[in-house]
Amino acid sequence: MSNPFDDTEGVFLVLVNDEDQHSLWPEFAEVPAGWRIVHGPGSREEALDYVNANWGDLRPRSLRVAMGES
Amino acid sequence: MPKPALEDVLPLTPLQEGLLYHAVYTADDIDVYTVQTLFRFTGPVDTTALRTAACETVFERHPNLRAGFLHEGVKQPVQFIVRTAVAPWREVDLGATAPAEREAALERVWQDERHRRFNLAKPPLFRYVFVRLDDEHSALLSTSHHILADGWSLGLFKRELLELYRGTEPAALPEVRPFRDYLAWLRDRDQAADLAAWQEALSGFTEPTLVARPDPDGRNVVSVPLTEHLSGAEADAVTALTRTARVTANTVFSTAWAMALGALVGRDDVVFGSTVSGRPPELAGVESMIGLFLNTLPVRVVLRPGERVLDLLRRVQAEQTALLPHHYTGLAQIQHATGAGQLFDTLYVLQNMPRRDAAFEELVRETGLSEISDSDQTHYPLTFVIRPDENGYEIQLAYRPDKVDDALARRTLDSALRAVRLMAARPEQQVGRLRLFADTDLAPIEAFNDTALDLPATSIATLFEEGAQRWPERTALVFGDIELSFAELNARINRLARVLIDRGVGPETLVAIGVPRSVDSVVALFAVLKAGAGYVPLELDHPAERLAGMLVRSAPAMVLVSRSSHDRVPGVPGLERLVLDAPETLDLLDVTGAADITDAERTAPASPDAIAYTIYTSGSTGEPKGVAVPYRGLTNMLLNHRAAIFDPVVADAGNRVLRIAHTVSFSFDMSWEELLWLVQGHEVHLMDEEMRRDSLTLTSYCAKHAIDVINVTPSYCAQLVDDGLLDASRHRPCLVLLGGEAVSEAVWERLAEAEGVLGYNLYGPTEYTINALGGGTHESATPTVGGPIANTRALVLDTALRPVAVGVPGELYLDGVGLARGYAGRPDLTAERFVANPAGAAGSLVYRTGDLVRWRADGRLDFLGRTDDQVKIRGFRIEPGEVESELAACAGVAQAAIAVREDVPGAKRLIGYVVPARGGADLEEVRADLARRLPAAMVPAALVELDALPLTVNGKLDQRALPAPEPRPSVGRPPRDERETALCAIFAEVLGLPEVTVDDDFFVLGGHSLLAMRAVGRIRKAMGVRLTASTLVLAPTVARLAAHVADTGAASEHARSSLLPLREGRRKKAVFCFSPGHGVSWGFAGLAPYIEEGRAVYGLQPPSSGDVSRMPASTEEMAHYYLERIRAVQPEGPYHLVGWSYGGQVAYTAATLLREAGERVGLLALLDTFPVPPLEEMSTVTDPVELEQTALSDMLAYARATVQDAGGPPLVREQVFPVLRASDHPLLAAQDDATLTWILESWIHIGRLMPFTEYRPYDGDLVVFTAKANVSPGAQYRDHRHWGPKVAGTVVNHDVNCDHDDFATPAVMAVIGPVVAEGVENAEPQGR
Repeated sequence: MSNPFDDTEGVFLVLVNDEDQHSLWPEFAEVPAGWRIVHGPGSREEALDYVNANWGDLRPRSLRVAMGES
Repeated sequence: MPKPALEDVLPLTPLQEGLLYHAVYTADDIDVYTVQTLFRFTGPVDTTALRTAACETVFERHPNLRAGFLHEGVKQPVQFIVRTAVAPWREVDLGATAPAEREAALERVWQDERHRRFNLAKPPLFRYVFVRLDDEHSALLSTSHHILADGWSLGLFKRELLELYRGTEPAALPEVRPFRDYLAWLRDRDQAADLAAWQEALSGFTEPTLVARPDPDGRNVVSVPLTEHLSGAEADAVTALTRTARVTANTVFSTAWAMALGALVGRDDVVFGSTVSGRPPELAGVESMIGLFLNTLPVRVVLRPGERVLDLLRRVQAEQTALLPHHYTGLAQIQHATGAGQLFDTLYVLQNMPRRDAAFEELVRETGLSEISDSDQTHYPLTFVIRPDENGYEIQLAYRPDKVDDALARRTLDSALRAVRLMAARPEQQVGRLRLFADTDLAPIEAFNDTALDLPATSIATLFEEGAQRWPERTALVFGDIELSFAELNARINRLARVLIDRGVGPETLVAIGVPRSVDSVVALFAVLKAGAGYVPLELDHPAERLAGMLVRSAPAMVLVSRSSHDRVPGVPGLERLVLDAPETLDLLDVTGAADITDAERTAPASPDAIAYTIYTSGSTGEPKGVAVPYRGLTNMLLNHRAAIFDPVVADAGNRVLRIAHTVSFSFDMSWEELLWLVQGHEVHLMDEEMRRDSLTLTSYCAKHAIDVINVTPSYCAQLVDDGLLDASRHRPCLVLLGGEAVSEAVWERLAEAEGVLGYNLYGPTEYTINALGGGTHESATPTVGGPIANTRALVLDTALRPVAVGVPGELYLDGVGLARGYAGRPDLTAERFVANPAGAAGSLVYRTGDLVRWRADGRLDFLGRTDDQVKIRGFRIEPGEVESELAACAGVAQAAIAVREDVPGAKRLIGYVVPARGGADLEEVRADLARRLPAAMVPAALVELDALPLTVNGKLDQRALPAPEPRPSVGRPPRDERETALCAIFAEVLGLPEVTVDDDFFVLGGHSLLAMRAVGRIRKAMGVRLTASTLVLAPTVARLAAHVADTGAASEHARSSLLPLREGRRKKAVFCFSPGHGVSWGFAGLAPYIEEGRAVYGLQPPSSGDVSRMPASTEEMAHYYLERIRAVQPEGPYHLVGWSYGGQVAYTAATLLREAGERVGLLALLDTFPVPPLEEMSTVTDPVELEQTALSDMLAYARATVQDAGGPPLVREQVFPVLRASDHPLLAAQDDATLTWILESWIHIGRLMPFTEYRPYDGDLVVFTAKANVSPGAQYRDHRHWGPKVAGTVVNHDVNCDHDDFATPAVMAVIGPVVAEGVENAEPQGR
């Protein structure tokens, strides 16, 4: 059984939620509530490059705020 | 009856072969391929005309309906055509039956006929029953075998029958084209081209699509049909879809069936059978021929979630159209050519019958026919049938109730209908968005996932602190001689936490812990947590290079070490290091406050979202990845465990404080299980590094300290159980927690069977704090990973991210408070593994585990395997990709591949494949290089050099074509003495090898830490030598290990014990081996490998020297002495006894004594033992001095030394023993004085007893092995026939080409071992 997230030939989006968490997302599937598209459709590699370039701090936004950062 | 004249002999069509095969191999009372048609008539029937038409004329016209079938005595099955055939005709008159009963009576006739099998070798395979119901109504039941004609043909047949009955002259009917024309056409086909097309169509198909429960007795059961209709607007919508997509209705329905099947088996690449007409259009008039043209062929459909419905339909149609020219190939040939074996067990049928045109309607009217009904069946568990009718489509799913549950069949039909409706409604939709399960199918899962539990924001460190205040005096931690109360432990933690905070450690900073297992490791861990920071555990066994990489990547604020681990933790520039037991640190701690830490002191307020620990696991991309886990999940674990585990287990134990053994490395999150008990106020015993890895030490610790709870991997659990963890004779734990890898059925059963023991499996990847699922042996008879824990939802999704129903395999995704933050410093890896939740709260995340699971109806999950190639080896999670990239980076390696093999069941091994670069690769060097960079569990057990990596047609690595590593040609020496023989036997047994030489390296042969433990355990039991697994690491060959064994005084004492366990086993009755005159029974160790697994082998030896009071005074007393020991380990027979030389005399005597006591004796085997001659025929020595002189000189002779070599005569022990020790005799060499004294005294003593041996009659059988190369005098006495008069049963003799003293050698054991093993099996009734 293959997983759609591992499909190197697939078409992908990058989604972001309110905590600034990023998710790779196969284009064929409905975008779940609470997430918005910030990149794609494009190749898997492009999507992951986008994630690396735009998600520097893995902490959820609420924790950053609580720790006094923006 | 004369044999009917033959007209023709013909080959079979592919489906005829299949049906013949089916008829031959399922010899039940019912053959499902019995076809029945019922013609009902209203009004008068001319039975004579009907009978002539049905029984004679049709058979005259169609030779192939006169066929019989043969498969025996012919190279290929054939059908033979008899020249004439008249079908049997029977008449039943129901006129006398009560009118209300007549239909039931007709039904009985129908059923009776159905159950009468045809003998396919006896044509015609047709018969009729004419049933008169009343004056107005009658019926003709035709019963035939499907092998003669397909559905289309039967339509033609019915019409022709009615025509003939009406009186149409046969000559006026259309001319018949003979079936043999078709067979000739078939024979001329290009089979290679056909097979190539099928190979192409099925390439890359890995797993058959099977829906049925395994069915051991294979009986045929009649299918139950479920029927639905698509009519009106729905039928129109299907028609509209066929127009939009430009495909046939057949394509729409078969695609819908593929989707339903995919939803049933949880796969997106499915194959099902489909019947095709098999009538080649190029054969003129083929459509009006009667015969079996039909064929069943595989239809493969790959469902791509991203494809539009329209595109899928078009692709399916194109793929199937391309196969049209190849519809005449047999299924068996296709399966053979593709190497796939059985491909499917479901059938799709589009039934296409000749239209009932106006001419037919007229026939019906004229013949008075009122109704025709057919029944046909298939043997398939599920048959999906589409019948186009005037209103639309009848859709039927026929299921075999013995193979598919009613509800499952219903749900599958519903899925197929949903697929049709959804495709028709939204042809532009992507396939992955069609919901094939109804909400009601998924509703139970929502209930299983209802796990909400209030979760306070309190951190696990605070919870520990609160406990310490409630029960300060309780013992918290025990480590060797050290015992700390909760108050003491808490104070130490607080002091260290303050020191850390002083150095800037706080929330969102990390501290690496590189401290050997000790009180300090627990103090350090909780101190980091009290500071609100996260810890990074360092596995000190790992190579320095790997640890350095982890330190650089995790960038901790500081690293904690001890003086002893200081050197093992590599230095990283700029990284502050605190040596916890350095005098200056101890001084500092002494003057630091011990009160609890407040938020005010911390560098920032503690947060449940801050990181509590970062644990490194294998990463497929080539470097380990750090899983960053927040605090919240730890608190959740404690709350879950209180309700699910602690409270019930503590209540069962009588509400007391339990003792927990902490055995798990702190670099696994599983190590938290024991710490949670600590937080809950229980007493944790921390095992040191050596003890936790040594199963025997660990189990004796558990017994001695009355440990209640132990937490281990299932594979280690199996070892601990073998080593007595659950023995009833001593304290046993009440709870065994399992985790880290899949639980085998054997382990689950052992735990479930043990009285008063709960086994509890905890499942959870590092990415989901400690556990996500849990379940115990009290809840499930088979291994289960349990159900979701508190505040956790388990999603089982298909490859299109849709939830699947109960029972369907899918990938497990985890949703809940236990989610890790991600992989430290790797946003990309995090974003592909922690993904948007497709079926949960808005904006939430799920972790995709890569584990394949299935919901059970009871809300628990079964683990089925991995969706990727990650493996667990002894609980250690390994990404082969990481090992592969390390291997490829080694000097001299051009290409590398890794495979996981399980050549010995239960022992998975990594195998590395290397294509050397130009100039070659030194595999030993490569191996050493890997060992410098990878943890031991990740270093391949074997490296194999290849010229090139095998590739599939698609250019990918062909895993299946990677060769098994060849057993290394053994260049080592054979064992040289008894001790080495025993050790070689233990190595071979543990490693699952036929043979091991004294020079073979245990680890090179595939040994690993768990097997090393097993080997050490066996050595300890068989030889009484206390070794640890680390001794085996230092001395990995038998030659080197033997020295360790000899050095140990305890070994010699143990070697002289009276009952020597040579091999473990509990499932079956043991084999007891009686030592020969010299008293030593170690030699029988070589017998153990031949005895079936599960059967213990014991050696019996005379009492130790010096214990004169216990020296038996006769052979019979000796037998009693042994029987006492035998009964202590095995209170009941049958007893299997093997005796060598004098041991044979004792074994014989013991057997007679057992029989007299009413016990059963299984095998009694004697190795070169014969009845002692009468006293008067031999010279008997009784003088002790003379006896000792004789014994000493005999021993010297054994050792190939002379009396003179030992300075005699007379001989003295002090001079003889060194000579014996220096010899190369297997029993005498290298023995200490105590052992040689014992051998000598046994020798003397037995020399005294033997001549007086008395024989009672024995009422069983006897097996004797006679040493034919025996050179000592007295040959006339060494004859097995002398046993005859004493033995009531049979005496079977085996001559062995060896000397009397050679029985312990491997060569002789190889001869007698299998005979003894077989004798034991035969002597024991099955099922014991």
